[in-house]
Amino acid sequence: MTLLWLAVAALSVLAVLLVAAPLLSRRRRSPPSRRQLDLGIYREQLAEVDRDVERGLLGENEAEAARTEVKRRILAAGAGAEGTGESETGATRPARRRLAVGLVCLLAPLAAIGIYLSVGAPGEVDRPLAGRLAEAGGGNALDTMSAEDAVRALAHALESRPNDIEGWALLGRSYVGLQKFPEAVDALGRAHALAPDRADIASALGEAQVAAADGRVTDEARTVFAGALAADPREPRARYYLGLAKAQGGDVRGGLQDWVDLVALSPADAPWLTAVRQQIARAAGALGIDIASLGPSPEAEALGGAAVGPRLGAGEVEAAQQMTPEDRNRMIRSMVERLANRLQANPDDREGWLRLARAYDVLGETDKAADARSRADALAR
Amino acid sequence: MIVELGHYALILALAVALIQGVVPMLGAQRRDAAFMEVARTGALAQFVLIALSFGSLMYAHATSDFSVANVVANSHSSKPMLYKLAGTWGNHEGSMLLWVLILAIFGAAVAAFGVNLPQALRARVLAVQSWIAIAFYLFIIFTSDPFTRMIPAPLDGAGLNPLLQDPGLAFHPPFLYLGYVGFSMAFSFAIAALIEGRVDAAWARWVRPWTLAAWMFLTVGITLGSWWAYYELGWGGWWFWDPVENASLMPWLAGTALLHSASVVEKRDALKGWTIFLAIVTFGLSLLGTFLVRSGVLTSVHAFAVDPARGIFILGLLVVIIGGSLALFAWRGPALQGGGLFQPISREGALLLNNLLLATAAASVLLGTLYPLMLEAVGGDKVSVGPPFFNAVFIPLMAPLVAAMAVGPLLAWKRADLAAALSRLWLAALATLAAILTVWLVHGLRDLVGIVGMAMAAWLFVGALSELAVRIKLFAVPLSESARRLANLPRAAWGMSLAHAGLAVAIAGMTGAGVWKQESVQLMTPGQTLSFAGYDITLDAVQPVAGPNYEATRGSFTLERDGRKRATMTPEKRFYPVEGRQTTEAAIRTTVSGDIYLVIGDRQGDGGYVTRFYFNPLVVWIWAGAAFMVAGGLLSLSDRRHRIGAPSRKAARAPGVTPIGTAGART
Repeated sequence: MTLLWLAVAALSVLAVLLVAAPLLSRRRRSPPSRRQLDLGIYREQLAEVDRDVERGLLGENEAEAARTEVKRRILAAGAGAEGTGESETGATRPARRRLAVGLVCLLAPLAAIGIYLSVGAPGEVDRPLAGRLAEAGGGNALDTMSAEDAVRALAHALESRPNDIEGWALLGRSYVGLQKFPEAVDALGRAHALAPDRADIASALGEAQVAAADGRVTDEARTVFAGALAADPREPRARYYLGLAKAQGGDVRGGLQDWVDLVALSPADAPWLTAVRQQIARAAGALGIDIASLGPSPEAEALGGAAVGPRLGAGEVEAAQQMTPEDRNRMIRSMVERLANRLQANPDDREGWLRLARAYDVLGETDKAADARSRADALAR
Repeated sequence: MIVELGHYALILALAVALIQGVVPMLGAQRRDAAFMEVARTGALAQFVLIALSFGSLMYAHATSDFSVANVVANSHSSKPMLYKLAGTWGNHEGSMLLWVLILAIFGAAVAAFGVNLPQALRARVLAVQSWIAIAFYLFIIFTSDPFTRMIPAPLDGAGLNPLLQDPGLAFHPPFLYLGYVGFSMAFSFAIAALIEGRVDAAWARWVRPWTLAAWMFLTVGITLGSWWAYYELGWGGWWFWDPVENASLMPWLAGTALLHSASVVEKRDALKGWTIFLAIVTFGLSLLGTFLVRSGVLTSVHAFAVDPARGIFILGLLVVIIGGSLALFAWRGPALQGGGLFQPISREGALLLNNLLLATAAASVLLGTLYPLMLEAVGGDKVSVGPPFFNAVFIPLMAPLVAAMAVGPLLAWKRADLAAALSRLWLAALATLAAILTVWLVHGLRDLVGIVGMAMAAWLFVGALSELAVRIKLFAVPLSESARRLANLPRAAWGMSLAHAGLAVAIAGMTGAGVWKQESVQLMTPGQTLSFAGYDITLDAVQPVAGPNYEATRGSFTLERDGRKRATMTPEKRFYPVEGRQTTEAAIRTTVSGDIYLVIGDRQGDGGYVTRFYFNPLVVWIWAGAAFMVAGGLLSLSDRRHRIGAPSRKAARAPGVTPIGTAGART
């Protein structure tokens, strides 16, 4: 931070010195006057006329007329300069100059720093991704070493506090982190038994069971995940693994539907989306299904997933929750319009038209909905 | 620290701009050389500061610093480095920073290379330039700050729109901005001249290179944009009369008019008020373009109303800058002394006609672009004004413009002989007739637009060459004499001929691609062969491929003609998982006579794929024509008369001796 302020100070001084240089210097070359410059141009125009005559581009009569005109301008330029009393540029009176220098040197950086303090974040350092990754990598190794000690200490402490739900859950997650899955299943099982309604704990238990079984979703784990989903229908891990269970049991189409629902129910910036999308792409590829034809199940739509057009980003969801009903409607409308515009540009998207139709249904615009549906039908044919 | 220092540099540039906007203006008023010099040092300081600021934002993008909100929103760690860098300006905040960077570059260029400008004029020009900069700095710092931090920093970014991942687009906005912002120079010169109360031939000569440079950049920018739309969007078209495109076309039309009227001021000291007015309008349209694209008003007037801070700011800016300058024009404009007189049939008259037609064209594009917005704003339906309107308005305006374009350069200044000029165009008339007959015989009379377009192209192209031939007295004097004359032609004359001929080539391309385009959409299964536009096109296979940050379905097509294999083409449909978007990568085979353009679409239930074929005749002529026009601009810009314009230092010491230009009496 100190470094930043040093740099800010240096930059300010340099900029001010550069700007104020003409005010500070005593010696000054007097630049050519306007009259000299104008005359230069007019003389050159005369020379140009001569050249054109020489090249045969202008007849002698035309050339004479052009010369007369330029000469008239030369006279006017001379007269104009004298008429308006334009003389060589003057010098500044010392007092005024001092005032100007002071204003430039003080006000400019002060104003800039004032604005910067109100809009900037002087305490923040650069965080290039490469540096952060290196840091995180180094940090992990340290954490692992201390984590084993910490886990041992936690396990020891829990012997005297057998009803500590959070404690058991933490211990279980720590074992997962250390790849000790059977121990993790034990600890998370204790937590799950103490709080069967906690979907997050149930999911963690199921995940540990799957990991302990080398990635197979056992019947036991499936029961646990089903319980988690019953407690919280939006629990992402439970939905994912239930889909995986179906896929492992041969029902790839069913698993695919679960994952599509998961994507529909997830916030746009959810960290797991990339992995799930890849899984969907693989499954759809295996089944020979076009990804674009997939949509959330009615159950997921009932939960509010992808009800309207392009899905809301997390920020927009948050914004929508704080809006008045009119504002929210307007926002939905603008999203629907975006979708409609996109479809104008790319009218072959049948799924898009269907989505647009559903969105218009929600907004109560039945005519437009019917219109969009007919577009979709036309594409189906 | 680099990011924060960049932020501070931006704010410090605002402070410097405030000084530069006031001190030199006072100096010019009171003839104080030291005060006036602050304009130059200030412009240089602004350039250094903004370059630093832009560089630090670029650094944040290059290193994927996700503690900067702008990087999070527009970048992703898996993007190739080129697009990480292009991501710096591929978004609203970054592009506004690019806008002021270019403004600062132009300012610094005037400060560094404008040694031949009268000191007071330069001081006023740079002060006005600084007023524009102040407005944009305020806009950036208070409504579109690219340096806002996001703490804690997320692990990865949200990515750039995959459509924007194309080299054409990476370089298209900078050129467009170089054009837009370049017209700010003409604007600043116009305002400075109004304040000073004098516009003369010398002024026009100083303004012209800046206008020409801006015009060239804008031409490149528009062409790249069109090229990008053609190659990347996969719709098979190259111009859509989309509001975003119109936003760049309007200043181009007005700027082209300005370029021509400035030459009348330079040569004949006439059309002064009109030229000043055009300079204001051109920059106003550039600002309007920025507003339309940047405020979100185009997507939907309602979307604009939901987040009005930015839009209102730009709208206010627009009102103040255009309204203020027009008021100044109304107040000071009448005081400008009129110069040379001229007959209607003369070079001036032809340039005036050109100006009227171009201004009308710009006004009609403006109407077509803004009408839907206004209708929507007052609660009407959402309508779109599309190609039918623009074609109906544009072609009737362009036809007389092109007809006059071939004649104009053959007319003398002041008073000219139209019959003599026309008689020199007999070859062009023959070529036009030949073009009409050819099109008629090949395509019949139903393509009237095609006939008109090709006739215009032939007339203009041969007309531009005829003008050169007349100037070098081809066949009237011995060939060696003609060759000597050709070599002696001023570069500006070459520039004009090249630019006019380039427009002719581009018109031929636009006509061909617009009128004789062929298109077919069908369901194809692998192994199937279809005949299209004289080719046999076989879909060999469709397979999935994985790209660096996308997954794609790639179709392989074989193109045969007369039983001989001509090419293998592989269009793709890509899916970008991070953004969850699909894009179409068309496969294009370019030949002089036209492009074969293939697009592969979705797989249908029964194993077939939707494929789209286009044959776009003469498309490549459009780009070639634009390249000619830019080359013409470059040649003209390199004409010695722009490098002289005023005495060198040596001449300044001895005012009697002025370097002699070799330039000709051409625009």
